[in-house]
Amino acid sequence: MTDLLDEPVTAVRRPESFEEFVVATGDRMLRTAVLLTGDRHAAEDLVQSAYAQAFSRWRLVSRADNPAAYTRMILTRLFLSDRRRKRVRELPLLAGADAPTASGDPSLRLSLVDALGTLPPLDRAVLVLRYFHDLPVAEVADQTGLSESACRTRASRALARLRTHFPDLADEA
Amino acid sequence: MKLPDSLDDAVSDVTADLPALAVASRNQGLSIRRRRRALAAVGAVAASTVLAIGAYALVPGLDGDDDRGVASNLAAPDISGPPSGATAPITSHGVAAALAASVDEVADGTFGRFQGDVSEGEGLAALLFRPDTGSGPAGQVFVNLQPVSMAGAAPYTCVGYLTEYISDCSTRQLDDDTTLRTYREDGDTEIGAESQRVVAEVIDRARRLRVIVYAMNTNPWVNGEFRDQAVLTTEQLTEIATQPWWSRTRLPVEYVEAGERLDLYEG
Repeated sequence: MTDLLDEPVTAVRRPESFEEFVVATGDRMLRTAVLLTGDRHAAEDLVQSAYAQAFSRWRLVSRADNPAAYTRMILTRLFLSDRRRKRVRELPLLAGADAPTASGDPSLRLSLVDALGTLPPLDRAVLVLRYFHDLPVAEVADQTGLSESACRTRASRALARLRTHFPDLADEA
Repeated sequence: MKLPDSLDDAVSDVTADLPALAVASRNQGLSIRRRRRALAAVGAVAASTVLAIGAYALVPGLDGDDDRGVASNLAAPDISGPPSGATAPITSHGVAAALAASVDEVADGTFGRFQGDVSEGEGLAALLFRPDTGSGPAGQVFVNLQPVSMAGAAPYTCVGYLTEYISDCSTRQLDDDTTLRTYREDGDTEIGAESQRVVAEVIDRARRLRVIVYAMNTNPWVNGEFRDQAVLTTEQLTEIATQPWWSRTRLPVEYVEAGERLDLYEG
């Protein structure tokens, strides 16, 4: 089935049913959630919650210009709001100078998903929306509630931090 | 190593049990619907222009406010003069007051059942409006303030837009960044075949804002009663939707203050 996630859904491509919509978009939605949460189980919970929200207003979502983008926005907001609630309990996974890098011992080498997990949730969301979904900065700003300049700042800072683990990382598509 | 490719690679082997996900999400979504109905609250987010607020909330006649069971005998919030330019953080009450005051600017009539909600980065309000002229039930008037991304990608035209549902669609470029789209959507399956909904939508890329305003010829609380026409015209709705002070985060302080004196209908 054609992936509906990043293409505008016109009248003729509107999902026939909620089930068809989930089948068409679920894998990419889960991948997004894994990148955001860094954890498969948390990602599955997040995706299910996002789809549940979408189903609860399915009549509206199914008629949106892009139902998948709408559901992705729900997912991003759920992730960020959940992270805000948990923020006070969070401890950094890795502390700057002690963080293993790509040039260090291979056994300590971070995966990209792990490295994303070292970033603040908002930075992570900005990177995932900007570079995994290839959204324009304005749209990333909309979905994260940041200004466009704040998005650029966060993306730049987050990339710099990722490069401490992956020195060869380039941001261009 | 390019970041987009690296991100793709990092999760390329992640797949979901899609049928199970659909079933679990549907069940959880049904639970959310039941809770929402139990609370009879105003819906928080509208993806498109069609949001039947509280359609399940009350049966006609329950509150005995008038002969149609719907309070619509209130005046708009008392606001003297145009907004001063000062703003305050948006509130549920404030967006309802702003909508009422805007309707009051373009039409004469009475009001009722003010509803408002600000959440998930959106603002919405609804009210019932009974024009001084014409006959029939009060009509629902509604505003939704959304992120511009909810309008999809530019250009914002009528081609392919809700083609199964709407008619009389037209667009006009107000300036380089702002598009006005108007249309009507009749025969809402939940409200009734004779229902009319007239919509004006402003998509403002510079302010990253989508303003949707609509008016109906009926409301969710009256079963099978309709006016001949929606309670506001396309021109009146356009005047409301194009007000420069609409925002998802702040409103003119006069409306926010007036909202503090407004009783919201909780359904």
